Amino acid sequence: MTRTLRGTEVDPPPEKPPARTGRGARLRYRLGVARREPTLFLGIGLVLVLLYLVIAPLVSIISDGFAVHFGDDFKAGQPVGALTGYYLWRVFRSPVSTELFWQPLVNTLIVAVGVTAVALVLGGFAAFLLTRTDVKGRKALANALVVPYMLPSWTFALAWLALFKNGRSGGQVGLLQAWGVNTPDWLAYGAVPIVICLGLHYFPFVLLLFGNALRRLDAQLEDSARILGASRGTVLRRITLPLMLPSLSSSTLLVFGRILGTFGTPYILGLPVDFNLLSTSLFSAVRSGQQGVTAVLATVIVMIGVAMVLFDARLVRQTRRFVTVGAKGAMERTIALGRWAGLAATGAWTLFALSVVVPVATLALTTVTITPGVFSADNFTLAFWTAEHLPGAPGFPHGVLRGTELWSAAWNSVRIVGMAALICGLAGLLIGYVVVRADRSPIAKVLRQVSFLPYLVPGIAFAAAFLSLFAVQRGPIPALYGSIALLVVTLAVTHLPYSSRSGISAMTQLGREPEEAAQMAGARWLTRIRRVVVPIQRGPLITGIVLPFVSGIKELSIVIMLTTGGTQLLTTLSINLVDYAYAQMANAVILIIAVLSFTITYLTQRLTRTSLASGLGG
Amino acid sequence: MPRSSIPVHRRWLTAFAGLALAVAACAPGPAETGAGAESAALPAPVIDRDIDLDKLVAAAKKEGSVTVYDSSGDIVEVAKAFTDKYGIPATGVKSDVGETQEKLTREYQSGNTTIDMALYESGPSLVGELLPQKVVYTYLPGDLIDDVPDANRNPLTVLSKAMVWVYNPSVFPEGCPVDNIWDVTTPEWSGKTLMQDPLGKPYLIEWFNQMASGYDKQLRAEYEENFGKPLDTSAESAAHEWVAGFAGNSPVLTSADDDVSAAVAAPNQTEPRLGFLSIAKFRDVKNKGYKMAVCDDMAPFVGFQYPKFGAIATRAAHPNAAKLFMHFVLTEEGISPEMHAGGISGNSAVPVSKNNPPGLDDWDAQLVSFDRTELLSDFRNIEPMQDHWRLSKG
Repeated sequence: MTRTLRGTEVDPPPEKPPARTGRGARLRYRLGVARREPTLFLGIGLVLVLLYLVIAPLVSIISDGFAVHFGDDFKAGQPVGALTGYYLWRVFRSPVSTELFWQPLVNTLIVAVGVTAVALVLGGFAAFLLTRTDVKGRKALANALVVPYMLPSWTFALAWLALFKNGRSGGQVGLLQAWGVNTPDWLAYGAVPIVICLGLHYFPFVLLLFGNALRRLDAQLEDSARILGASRGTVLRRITLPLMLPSLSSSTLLVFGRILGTFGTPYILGLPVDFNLLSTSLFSAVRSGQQGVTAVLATVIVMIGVAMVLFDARLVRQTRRFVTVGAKGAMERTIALGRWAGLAATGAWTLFALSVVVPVATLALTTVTITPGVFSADNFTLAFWTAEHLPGAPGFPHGVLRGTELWSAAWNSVRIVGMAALICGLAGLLIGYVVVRADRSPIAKVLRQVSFLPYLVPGIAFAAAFLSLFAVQRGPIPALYGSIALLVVTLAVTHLPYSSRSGISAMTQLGREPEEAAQMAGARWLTRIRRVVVPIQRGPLITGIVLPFVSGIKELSIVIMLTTGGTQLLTTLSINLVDYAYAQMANAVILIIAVLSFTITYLTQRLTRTSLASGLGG
Repeated sequence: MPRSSIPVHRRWLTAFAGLALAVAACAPGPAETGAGAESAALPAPVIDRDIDLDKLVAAAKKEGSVTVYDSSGDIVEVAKAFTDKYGIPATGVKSDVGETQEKLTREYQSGNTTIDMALYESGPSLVGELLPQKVVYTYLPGDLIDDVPDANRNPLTVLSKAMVWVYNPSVFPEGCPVDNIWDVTTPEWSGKTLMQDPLGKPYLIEWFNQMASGYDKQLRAEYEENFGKPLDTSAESAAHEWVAGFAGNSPVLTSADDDVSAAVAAPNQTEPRLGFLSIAKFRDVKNKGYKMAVCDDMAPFVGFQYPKFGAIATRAAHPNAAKLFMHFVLTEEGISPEMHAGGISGNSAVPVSKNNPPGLDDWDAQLVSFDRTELLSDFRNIEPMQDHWRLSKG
């Protein structure tokens, strides 16, 4: 390579400062170094962009809560734009504050605690079976039990309605009611079904986090305690649980945080009995054009989210001294289940059936029946999938597979989420690169923290904040509302924490040598990234792209407020169909999303020979 | 992280919480001035006196397409008819009023417009927000204007629609089980009435407000007729009292009229129920074999008539196509897909639909008639009425 020689000749070695001092020379020297080793500058750039994308939306939405909006002047008794406490008063103190805020807050806490408990019990049980026992078919189970997480979260809610719906929400009743079983309101709508549905969706989260920690726990620690005479209960209480605390608290808070920002399930199951969470209350404020109230509610959700993570950080810091992976030899002990084996396996497979088979089969059944629960030949039809003309559904007058709506939504989903995932994956790797290479520099520390920030903000509140920031042109940054760029940016930022985590951990494992070798051969920075770093990190990079993609393709809470006529996604199409009471077609679209999400995950796992459940199945 | 960081966080949190509470304590003062932006005069409509339809068609064709939002799914068919006639691809999107309003406003503010035109069912927010903010404007094609009565011009009424009380005639073969609107506030009908959630449907709140401003006397008289004693209430109006009684009687609230009609009138329904829904749902009598009839002897009225307005986005990406579409829906050809189940065009030259549901023959006598002079005051009363509904709901 000729360029190599030239490169080594021209660029001064960074160790030797130039003889001539003076500002210009120093700057030129620094730039020269930066060109070949731009880690620091890259880091600064990333930090600035991320700070803008995370902090500016929050500032924008918080300030929205304190200024009188158009049309509210006579309510607030102040002119438009004036500083006001009216929205705070309305949300926290007014006669309707109970409906707008306090009741939804209580409901959110109830649901969050309930879902966390269900997810912990189910996930903990599954993790224990898969990592600590000789239950049959561990590998198959491990793969099967993460499937619920690949389904859009409100799949369960729609399936629940298809089964349990009663007269309380109008329309046709569900299967049970059609067969003469009366389903009480508390079972059909509100807290109970929301907790169950979300619990079934989120337990794989706990299974993965908790399972991995449990697997790494050295069984010798427990054995020692037993030898010293501790009872099983004491071992569990004094040894196992404390060691599990970090992963336990992380999974708890992860689930808890997700609940704060989740929208689909509470929207579908809460509306008939007027059971609002903060997320649905926020959404109805957006839809009724109450920007001030929206801002206050979003701010509260963000504050709760931040408080949770700070709490988690404290908890984890206190327990960090316990290291579960030591340098000493560790032992894994599997408990022989003996006569419990059959029961345990049945339990685990039942869980799979309840969380995957039943909802999917129910939804599939509804899409081919005209009146739910009637099993006569003339009640079965493929019309909702393929009919050229569907009478009685003027807003969507043909089967879902006909017309352009489904296909353009699917194309939008793939395109928008794909771009976001790509950005996420690359940004994650770059962040990892800077954090690892510029280790010890303050930029690395800041970057690590900042890339984690979006994690603090529940999805729906983030969407509201982005909506507020990018509604109009601000300085050089154009108004993004209505463009696909807004969706791409929002999805990328909200999913960044996952990619940057994987980027950082991947880069930690890559030493400097391969890159230095390339540098010696004269490769510039971009070439090194393109030809050395990316190829070596191909696996983690693909994971860093696929995980956000799978999560984004079934994302609703974040995109529900941001889509417009031209940017309809599969998920928003489905929820629109729910709103218009076209239940069969809504369910059909959900099935399509589920199949898409499942297929992509499965294919990637095959291609990259990785597995979400890897390691769990022994 | 330095050890002092947590107290700093906490200090900030405390400070913020303190500030928030302090400000929250300030309830709004009385609105004395009332000189807000929303009371600015309604912008005059744009009247296209020298309209040349051929030129408009040519200009529209050049723009290539048009997107129209409407809360009724019939818009899909209207758009198809438009495309068939002019060869310009048109997209009709069914969208709730609140969603349409939010998207129109945001698209206007951002300048990235996808919605060219809207058929819009919330008069108060049109007059109180969208028109004065110049998000949309009212366009009147000159060749049709003589047939559009003055009262329909600003804002432009494209179509008058009706919401009515309905029952299932196979469950109640004797006719509608109630003859008085106060009946639905009695325990007998607790949990058996259905309508869309008024908090999501501005035109239901509008109905309450129009009853409050124009129908106080009738409501009081019917109350006395029904219960044998005069209405004694501290509520603002008889309508407020009715709303409170109805909201507190656990009505089933839905997100779509289809859920109301299915629960009342689907072929497999046997439950005694009453629904309040748009007459558009009468199409399902034919399409899906629904058993549905208007409660035609309900006093003082069997429902509410309300206008569907038409407005073009000020920053429409296809302004001429939007104008042409507006022209189209003001003709019989264009609006008839929306009149399958009745309706009265804003253009008096378009004959009254023959498809009005049986029992609904005289709109003016049977329905709460729409008083457009109240629009601005209704706009101010949206939130108070929503709050009244919220607080009355048990």
